[in-house]
Amino acid sequence: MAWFKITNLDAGTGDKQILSDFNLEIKPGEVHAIMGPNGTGKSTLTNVICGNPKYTVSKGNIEFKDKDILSLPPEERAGMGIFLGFQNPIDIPGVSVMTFLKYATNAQRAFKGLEPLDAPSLLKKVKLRAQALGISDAMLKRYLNVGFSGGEKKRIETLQMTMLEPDFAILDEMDSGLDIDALKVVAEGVNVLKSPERSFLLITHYDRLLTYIEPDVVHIMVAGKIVRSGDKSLAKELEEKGYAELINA
Amino acid sequence: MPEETLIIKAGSKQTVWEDAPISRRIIVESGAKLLHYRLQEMPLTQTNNSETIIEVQENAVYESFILQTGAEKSFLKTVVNLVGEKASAFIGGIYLAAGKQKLRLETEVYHKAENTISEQQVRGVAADNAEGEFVGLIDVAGGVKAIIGNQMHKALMLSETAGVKCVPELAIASEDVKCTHGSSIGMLDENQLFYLQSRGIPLSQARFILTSAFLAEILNTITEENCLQNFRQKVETWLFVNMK
Repeated sequence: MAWFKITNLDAGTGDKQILSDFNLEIKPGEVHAIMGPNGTGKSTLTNVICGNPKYTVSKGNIEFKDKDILSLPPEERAGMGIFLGFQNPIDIPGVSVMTFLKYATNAQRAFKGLEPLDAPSLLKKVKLRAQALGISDAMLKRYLNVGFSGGEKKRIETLQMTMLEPDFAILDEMDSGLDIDALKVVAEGVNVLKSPERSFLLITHYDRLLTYIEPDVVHIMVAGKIVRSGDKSLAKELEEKGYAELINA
Repeated sequence: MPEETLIIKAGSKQTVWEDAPISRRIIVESGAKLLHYRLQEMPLTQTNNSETIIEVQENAVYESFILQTGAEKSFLKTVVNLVGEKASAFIGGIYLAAGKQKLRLETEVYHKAENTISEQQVRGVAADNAEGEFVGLIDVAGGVKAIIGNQMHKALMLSETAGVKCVPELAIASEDVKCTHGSSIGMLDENQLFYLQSRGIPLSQARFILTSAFLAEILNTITEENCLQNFRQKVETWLFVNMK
C-alpha cells in the first residue's frame, strides 16, 4: 500500500481506451508535474483519480493513504483529501460562490466528524482567502462561474482549494488563460499550502507555471502513459526541444 | 366559465393570495397593479380544473405567480387580455409533480392594444412516474404596434420514467412585434453533479442543490417578500420529501 500510487491502470470512456498501463507514485510533500501533447490523456487521468463516472477503469489500482479508492464515489475521495482544480470549471447557475463554499466546507467537515462551520467564521475564512487571491466581495455573491472569465474561474478554483485544504491537490492546467499577474496570484495560493504532508500534481503544457511552483518531479505523458520522468530541468528541456525530440531521445 | 369577478380599482395596488384554485374573472382597471399569488396543493385524492381570466386595462400591471404541487390531476389555466395601451403582465409559475401526478399549467396572453408587454416564465420538475405539462400562447392582434412578448419554459426530469411536455404557440397578426419563446427539458447535468461531488458533496445533496438552484431563479422574480418566503418554504419542503 502507498500514500498515492497508480498501478498498471487502463481507463477510458465508452469504448475508447485512453490510459494504458499507467503508473505513478507520489509521496507526501511532493510536487509532481505532468506535461504532454493534447489528447494524450492528462485530463482523463485527473478525472479517473477523482472518480468521474463518465470514465471506466478496466485494469489496475489507485491507492490513496493506503486505501484502494477505485470503488469509492467522488465525494468520498474528496472527503479523504483529494481536490481537483478543473481545467474548464462548469457554471452552476443559481448557486452563489459563497453558498457553494459553505456547502463544500461543511461537506468536508462532515467527513471529518466536525460540526458545520458557523456563518461568521465561514465568512471570515472566505474573505481572508478571497482577498489574498484578488477576489472581490461582489464576485462572491455571483453565481458560481457564470459569466466569469477564464482567469476568474481559476482564481475561484484556487479559492476553493485554499478553503478545503486538501491533502492531495490535482491542478489541471491551472495556468491556461491566465496573464502573468493572475498566474502569480494562483501560484502563491498553491505555495502557501505547501507542507510535508500535502502533495500536488500539476498538469500543464508550459514551463511558465513551473517557474512559480517548483516541481520535485516532472513526467512526460504520451499516448496514455508516462514515457519519461526527471527533475525540474526536464520541463526546460521540453520547452527547448519539444515533445517529438525528447520522446525519441 | 368563471362566474366570480374581482375588480382592482383604478390607480390602486392590491396583493391577492389564493391558497386553493378558484375559477374567476379579474379586472385590473387603468393604472392599477395586482400582485396575484396562487397555490395549488390539493390532496392527491382530488382533481382540479380551474380557469382565471384577467383583463388588464390601460397602464395597469398584472404580476402573478403560481405554485402547483397537489392533486392527482390538475389543469390550471390563466388567460390574460391586455386591452389597454401600456398594459403589462408577468406570469410566473412552477409545477412540481411526483408519484403518478399529472399537472398542467396553461397560459394564454392576448395583446389587444398597443405598447403592451407580457412575460411568461415557467419552471417544472417531474419525479417518479409523474407528468408535467406547460401550454403557452402569445397572441398578438392585427394592427397593434410596439408589442413585446416573451415566453420561457424549462423543466427537469428527476427520473427516467417521468415525463414533461411543452406546447408553445405564437399567433402573431401584427408586424411591430418582438416575441420570443423557448423551452428546454432535461435531466440534471452530470458534469455539474460531478463538480459538486468532487468537493465532497454527496450525490443526493448535489441533486437537491442543483434542483433548488434551478427553481430559485424564477422564485426570485416574486416581489412580495412574505409570499416569496412562503413559496420558497413550500418548494424546499417538496424537494426534501421527493428527493430523498
